[in-house]
Amino acid sequence: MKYQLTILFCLLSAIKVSGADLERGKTLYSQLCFNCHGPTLDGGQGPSLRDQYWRHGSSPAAILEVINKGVPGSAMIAYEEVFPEADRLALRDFILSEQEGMRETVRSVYPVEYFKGKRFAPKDFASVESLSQTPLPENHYYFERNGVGVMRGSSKLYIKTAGEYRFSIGPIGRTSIFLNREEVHYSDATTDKKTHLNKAFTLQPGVHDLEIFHEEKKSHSYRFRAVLQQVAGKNFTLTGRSLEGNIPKFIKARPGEALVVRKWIKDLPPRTLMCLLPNQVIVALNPVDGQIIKAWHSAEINQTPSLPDRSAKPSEVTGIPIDQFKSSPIASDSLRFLRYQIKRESALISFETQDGEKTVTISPEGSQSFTISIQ
Amino acid sequence: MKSITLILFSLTCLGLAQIPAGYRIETVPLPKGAVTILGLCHKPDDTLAVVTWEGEVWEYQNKTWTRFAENLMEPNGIYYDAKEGAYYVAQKPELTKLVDDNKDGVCDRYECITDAFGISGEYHEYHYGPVVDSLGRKYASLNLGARGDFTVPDGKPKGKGGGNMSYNAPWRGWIYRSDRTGHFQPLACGFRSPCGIGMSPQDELFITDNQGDWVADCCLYHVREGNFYGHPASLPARPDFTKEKVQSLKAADFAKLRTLPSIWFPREVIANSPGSPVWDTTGGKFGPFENQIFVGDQRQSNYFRCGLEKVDGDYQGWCVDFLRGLKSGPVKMSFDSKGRLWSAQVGRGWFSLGGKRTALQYVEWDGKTEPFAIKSASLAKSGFQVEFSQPIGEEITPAVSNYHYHYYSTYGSPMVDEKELKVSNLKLSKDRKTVTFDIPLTAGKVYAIKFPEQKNAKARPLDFDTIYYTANKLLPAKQARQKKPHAIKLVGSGWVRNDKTRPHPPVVAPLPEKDCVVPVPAKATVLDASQWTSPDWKFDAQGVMPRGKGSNVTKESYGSARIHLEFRFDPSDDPNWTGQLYGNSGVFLMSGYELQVVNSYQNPTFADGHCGSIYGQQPPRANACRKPGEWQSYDILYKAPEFHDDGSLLEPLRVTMYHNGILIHQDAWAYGEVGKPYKKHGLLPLKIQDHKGTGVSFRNLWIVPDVDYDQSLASFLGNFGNAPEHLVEAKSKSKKPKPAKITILPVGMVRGMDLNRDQVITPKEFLDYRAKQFDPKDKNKDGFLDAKEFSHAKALKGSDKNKDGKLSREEHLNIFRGQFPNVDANKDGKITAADKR
Repeated sequence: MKYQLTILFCLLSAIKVSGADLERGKTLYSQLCFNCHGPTLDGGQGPSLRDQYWRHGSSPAAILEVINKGVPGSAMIAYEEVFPEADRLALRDFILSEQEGMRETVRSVYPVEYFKGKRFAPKDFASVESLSQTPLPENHYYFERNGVGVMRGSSKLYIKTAGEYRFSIGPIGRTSIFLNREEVHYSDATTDKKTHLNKAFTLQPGVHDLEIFHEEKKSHSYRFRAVLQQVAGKNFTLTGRSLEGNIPKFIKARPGEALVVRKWIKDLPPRTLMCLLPNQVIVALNPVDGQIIKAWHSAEINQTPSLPDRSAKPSEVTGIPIDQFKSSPIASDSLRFLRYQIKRESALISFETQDGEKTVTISPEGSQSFTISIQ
Repeated sequence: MKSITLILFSLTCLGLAQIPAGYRIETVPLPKGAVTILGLCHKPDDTLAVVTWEGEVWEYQNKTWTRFAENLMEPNGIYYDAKEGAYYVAQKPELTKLVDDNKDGVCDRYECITDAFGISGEYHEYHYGPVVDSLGRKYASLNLGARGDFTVPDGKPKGKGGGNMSYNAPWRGWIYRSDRTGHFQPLACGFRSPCGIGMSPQDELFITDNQGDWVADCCLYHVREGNFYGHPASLPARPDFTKEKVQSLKAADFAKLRTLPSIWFPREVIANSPGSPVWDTTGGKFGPFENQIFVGDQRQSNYFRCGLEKVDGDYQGWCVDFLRGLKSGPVKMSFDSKGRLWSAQVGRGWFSLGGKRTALQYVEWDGKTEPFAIKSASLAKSGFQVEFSQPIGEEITPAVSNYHYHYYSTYGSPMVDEKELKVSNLKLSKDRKTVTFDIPLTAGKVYAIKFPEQKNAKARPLDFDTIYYTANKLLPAKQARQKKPHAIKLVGSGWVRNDKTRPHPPVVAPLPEKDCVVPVPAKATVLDASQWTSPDWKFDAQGVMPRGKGSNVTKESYGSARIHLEFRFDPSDDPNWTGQLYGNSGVFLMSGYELQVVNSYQNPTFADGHCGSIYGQQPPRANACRKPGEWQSYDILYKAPEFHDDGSLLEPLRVTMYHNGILIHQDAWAYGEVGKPYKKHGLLPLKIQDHKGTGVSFRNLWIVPDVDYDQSLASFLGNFGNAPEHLVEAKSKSKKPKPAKITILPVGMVRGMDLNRDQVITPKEFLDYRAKQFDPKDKNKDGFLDAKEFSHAKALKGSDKNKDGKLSREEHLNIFRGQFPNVDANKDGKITAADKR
């Protein structure tokens, strides 16, 4: 029953990585894995291996386990029998070398009483029982709704680019940050209400131990916000929302069957019909005027659930814009959208026009294009 | 330690749950992937269908889930039309019919029923429904936006809880009806977040709204066509309002216009975000509360009961808590054929006491155990009558208080002027189930009637001891005589024929006469003297036909047709000839369906008797009458009704019509002939009516016979160039204009420099950024940058004034001081988007 806090000093330091191994891993990846996970590890048929969300865990051991044993019920087979151990390790290390941001994130919650009036220090936590200890596959921090307690978050921070970094901490509650077991930030919003930008520090490429201690007053939803900024570079958001058990969702057409999706997509009119064709082409058609607004190839819609928002957050299209297409297939002064249907690989969108009912058929052509016909 | 927490936690949960004796809550596991359910409905065979926030429709049958449809946009409600064998869902952009053509259990066809309302993309523009009347027509509600350009703050502070809601697109804040593809009939406005929608078994539409600006507390409205329910942001869609006019009015002006809720739901006690009302029509399967209204609340995770009574023509009534301890927040409910009350529950976005993000649960009665509850309350002449479900114990001590609300733009209203009232003349009925008492009564108050520690005969306490009665009105001294119900029921409109309290159509300016001229089409039959049968109606030399004795009918019979005619009222200032006696006649389509002709220029009459009304049924959308003495025109397109072989109605008569160039009916549904229900008929002549009163004349009548109404409708609506506002698509999402981005510097550098994110980089921001780079670069911490630490050899040499081969802080900054003017291309002293290479 007792959760004894143990700091796991794993890892990358313990793994011997040589340039040769990484090269071997990269070669293997580009011969096989890229088919599903994409040439840049950003995902395709299979999930991204670079984003924050790690369904089966982001520790080196967990990643190796998936390579070894595969994922039952998916296209990911067990490579234990396929590659020698050295190759599998090389693959794992190559994947790890591509990571950036927080991984292996665990959130523990401790009783508030113990820390009243005390500055957070890792050693104090070693002697207190945690109320809960939860791995967060989202790899960012959030509280349970209605949660009470002091949060201790521990992660591995993967840095790819050497440079100056600093933390930006929202003015909520008390927050301490320890980097490689040294305190780099402390703020208390009860006495100081400004957003904190702590002093910049230099980080070298590699894996760092990051610990965040945070406490705030109980409310419906937590308000803690923390960002790691690379000075004049990338931002790493350290806080976010719970996906509440849902895995990030990418929508694309199933083989041989088109799909019409109505989602709120940033910068597109809210009624837009997103026509997803089996060749990974997406055509955005506005049913209000029959215009084709945009089209992409090698595309999909990222509809990662935006919980617990009051409405769906805009979804995003990832893909390569197609420049050349006819934007107004139907010319008619008065147009009324009637329906859409799927017919195998094509999306059929029907309108009532002055000249009677017209159906726009959007079909895939080749691997990066689409055709339109009107009946 | 953990186990103690667990025990404490479960105790708290138990403390929340309050389930009346004989009832039981059952939780149904949700389909994998359907993560947040928003609505549900039952098919006649008890198959359950749910819609999810993520855009899916799932069916649940024999404890198995199958996915019927996916990729919709936030559907908030579902209805199964058994006649058509199809689902209807209100998704954000449209009302959609989902058809499974090949009967494989998966939707094949997504039919847009109507998208004639605006949507700006603001997240709060939810669309709830549909519910259906006995004619199969669909009703749904449209939320206002939470943010946007058109709010009505009326000079008041926002208050705690939220700001002012915004009207960002046409028909937001309205309830509408759609009876077939393409049809959109706005019914009533003034709603804020009308998340609950329900149709009573008597075909009356009810809405629950959520407290906020202009809505003092959560409440139940009886929706009557043409009424305004209090939130002024929705008014600009009315033809008699503009945005400017709305802004010029004050709360006191809106108060005169608005219709009060039938029941207020006290906040935090009964509801914070009520869902859809459902009526217990289970015939006793759900316990002793038959015909009462059940509503769930998203925040309170409860079911509560309501009842209504008509006082002086308007509904008012009571609410009382029924059951607590649901897992999440019920928003939509449905009874299955076994009399179990199911609810789609959601806590997403807004917190629910149940704690879970979503749940599907049903509540079931064991069929025998009598719960002990306050059953209902009704208003008496000088107090209240309260009924209990069981005989009550000896001691009865009702404690009654009352309060009212503010009507203003501040979020929610406190309970104002709360007063304890003295109860007198307490009486108990023989069966010990009904208590009556007197109390000082005031109209416009909510009465909290509490029976503290009330026990039944077996000394069991009440589950919930307070019933809340909304007394908008007191019983009139003399009860109005019960009128016999009319042969035609104005289904779903909330009105009866010739209702004097029905709001009059808004007065609008007609188009100038010259813009109303329509050339006679080639296919038209000119209805000159040769076409009419009555010898008592005569055309004069100018082609003018004054109203004659008896009706005049055409020689020919007609089906669906397009008609043009002009008419003129004889001016009169005779005080005896007003109202329906000032220029009365009527255009009887197919001899039976009357489009009223009567002077409505400064001549008030009941709403459904106005010029252009479908008499006794449907007032015109606007009163566009000209002065008596001036010629006016009707342009009519109608569709003949269709009948089944057995004589029952298949399709009603529909009318689209312009009066003086103003659209006054758009695909309107005739409920029957004038004063009579439908009776099967074929082609019939056109008739013009004789009527007592001042004179009226006709001219320039023509008819295009055998038109295809449905095919002609779109082009007919293009007449006169005044397409209704809702046909104009709303602008895309309104937001504050963002400052244009600086492009002359790399994005990362801009982010590092422009810390206040205003897309303006001042010389100070520019140099601060550079100054901060000094320390990290100074690896050996000697306070200087040498060639190893600063890689631009040329720049180093140029700025190294003292020639020591390294840069001091000042020398380092000087490099960049010189750079600023180069980057500030337009030399305005700051770097902005205007600076280009």
